[in-house]
Amino acid sequence: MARAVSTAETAPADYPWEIHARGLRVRAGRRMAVDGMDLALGPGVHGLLGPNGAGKTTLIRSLATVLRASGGELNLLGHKITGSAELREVRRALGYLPQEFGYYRRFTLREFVTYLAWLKEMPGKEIPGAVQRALDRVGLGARADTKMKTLSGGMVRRAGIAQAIVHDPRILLLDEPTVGLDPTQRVQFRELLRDLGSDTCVLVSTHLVEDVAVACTDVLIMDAGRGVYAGTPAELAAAGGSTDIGDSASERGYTAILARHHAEVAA
Amino acid sequence: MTHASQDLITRYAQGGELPADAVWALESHLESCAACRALLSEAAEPSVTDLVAKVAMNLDELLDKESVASRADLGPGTERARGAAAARLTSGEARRRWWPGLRAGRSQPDASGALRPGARRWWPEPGTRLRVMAWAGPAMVPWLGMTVLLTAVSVALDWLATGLPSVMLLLSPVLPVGVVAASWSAGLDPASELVAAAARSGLSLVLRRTVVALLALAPVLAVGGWLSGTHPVEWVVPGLAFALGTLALGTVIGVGRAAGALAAAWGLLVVAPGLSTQRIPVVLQPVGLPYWAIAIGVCAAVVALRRGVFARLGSQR
Repeated sequence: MARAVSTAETAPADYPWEIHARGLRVRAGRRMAVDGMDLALGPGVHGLLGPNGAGKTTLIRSLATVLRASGGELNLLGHKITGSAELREVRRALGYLPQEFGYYRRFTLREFVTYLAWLKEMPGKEIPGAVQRALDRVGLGARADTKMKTLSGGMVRRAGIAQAIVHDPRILLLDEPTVGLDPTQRVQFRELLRDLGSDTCVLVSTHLVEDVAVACTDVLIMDAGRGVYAGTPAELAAAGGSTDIGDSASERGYTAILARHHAEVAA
Repeated sequence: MTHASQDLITRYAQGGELPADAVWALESHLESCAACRALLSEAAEPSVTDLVAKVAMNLDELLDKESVASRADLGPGTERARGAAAARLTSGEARRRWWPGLRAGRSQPDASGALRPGARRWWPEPGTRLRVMAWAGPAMVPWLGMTVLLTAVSVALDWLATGLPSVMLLLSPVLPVGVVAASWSAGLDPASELVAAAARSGLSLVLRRTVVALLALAPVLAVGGWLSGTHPVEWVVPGLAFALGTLALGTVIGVGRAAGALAAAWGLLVVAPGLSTQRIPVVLQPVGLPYWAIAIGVCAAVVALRRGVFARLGSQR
């Protein structure tokens, strides 16, 4: 079933950045996990790196609008995120894969993605075709009618990616999407990322520097709730010297940038 | 009608240079002329014909599953069965297979190995399962079951221990609290974070799930109340107040926590004293009804005013 492109999709955007944050502050429990973050992201694949506890998950949750920001300003697709009325419209164009997500064990893959497509307010007529397409894209098309409880960890993660892309979102937020994927699947996933990044604003948080180096158009590094670096993967690789810790140029660049940042903060 | 020349079709199929008006004329002719389409398929490159054959094979497989039974009737006339199946595909009937309303079991062979095409008629229209999920919420069933069990136990206690005040009456206000929590709480809904980020997330989805659960529960409580001799108003009004109270308090501390807190408070402050003194607490006597009504109004107002909170993850704690 071919999908017709609607006029809304081809209309020119009236906003400069899909994701635009200024001085964003988000609380996680009592801690200010995101503390003054500036972002301006357009179409492409943006890799988000940072040590554990840097605030990556909290940032992505706030961009997914499930957490309320306690300070700063956030614009998604040109909508200022404040009340709940605006949320609805933005969320229709927003795909989100949480770091940890549960699923309904009795559901088949198709039912799971269909239910989420319904929650995302997709038109009912488009849902069956879109669900099949999304499952095909993550390589689960042939297993669409198996029960979720029989799936391996990697398949569940791919099912999560399928529900995130089922409604052709314009902003796609993926929190640690490569966890549990085997090497072949990871390579396929990077291809999918590049494909998606051509017209979607994709933000991928990961702890694997390699994912970023291969699949992303640019790199953001976060530490202690703030952005400390923004550049291309090539610039990241060039930032490291032979004395820095790491197995690849990108890893050496990553550790070098963090070490430099820590030295600046201490000074 | 003039047909296209073999040469023109060959050049078209192999991507040769053709003037735009010739391409346009040829394509519109091909749409209506089977003979020329046959020429086109012969002229196409192997890579293209392979792909088309593969797609056709997959389609056949799908269609065969549908038409095994009818083909058996027709004997060797497979083409006719396939034609009928293809007609159904275009008429939209076969598209049902993509819909979750159609469970895999529906087209599976029965014990004799034959497909039962007539069986699909007994199933509701496609999309019904989705509609059920849409209203009740996927995590609801076990909690409905538990509440029904709790109601049955209270009624049984009322029948066995006649000296005590009605356990059913004592518990009735908090019986709906469980299903309210099941409709909107991260602890009970495994996919809560996915739900929270969806467009539909918010008060309307919460109310939709809660109302359906309470309506499903109402007949059970009605039978339970009748068996233990409680007047319906005595449990409907406090039950509604607690359901709304859970949502109202949930806007502050999360629906799951609110349900736990309210149930615990009720157990400590009303049920335990009621059982120990063997008297119906004053809050559950008819004089208490106006106060319950006020509580319902206050809670409904709080829920309406703080409705934005339900679109965020915090409301599901």
